[in-house]
Amino acid sequence: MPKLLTDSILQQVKEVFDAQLNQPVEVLFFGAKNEENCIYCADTRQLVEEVVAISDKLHLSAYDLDENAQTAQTYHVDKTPTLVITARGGDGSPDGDTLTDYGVRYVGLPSGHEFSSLIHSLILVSGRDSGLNPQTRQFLRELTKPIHLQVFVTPT
Amino acid sequence: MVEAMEFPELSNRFNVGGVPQTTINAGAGTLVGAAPEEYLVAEIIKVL
Repeated sequence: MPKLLTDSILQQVKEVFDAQLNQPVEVLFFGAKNEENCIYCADTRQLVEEVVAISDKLHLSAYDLDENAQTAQTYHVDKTPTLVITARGGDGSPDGDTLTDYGVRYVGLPSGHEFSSLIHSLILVSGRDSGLNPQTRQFLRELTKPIHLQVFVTPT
Repeated sequence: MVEAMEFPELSNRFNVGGVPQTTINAGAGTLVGAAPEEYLVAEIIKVL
């Protein structure tokens, strides 16, 4: 399969990662083996593979929605392609491989502007900090009901 | 993030027209356009 990312983009992303990636991140890719069930799965998986290859701090694990139903259920994944962006390594154990789920999900191929969003998400999770202001953090700490946010986007 | 064109049934269910659209708790709340932090918090409060 020809590469999806050009050398120019790879170089730009590498510079951003070198400057801004902090702690390890693991992307869990959920796809469907049968292409008919997921026309964007192959491209999404390849895109993520190319991005993850840019930095040692990024890891990828790939799952099939049906064959790995248990894992999909753990992460509440029911659509493909879905990317789950997790922090790898607990606090104080940067070499560990425990994953912490911050609830960040990409559903569908992150193309166009969404590619930048994906890069930013990887950096955000890598920084282990939401970047939100104190009032928002306080509000979120006090939440007692689950809140599910779905941001609908298009590539352009 | 949900790619609206790839998931039309989901987009239709939540009446997605202009993007970005932030749907809160499966339609309990909706925010169209860029969502500044305080604005998003205000919309979440409405849903609670």
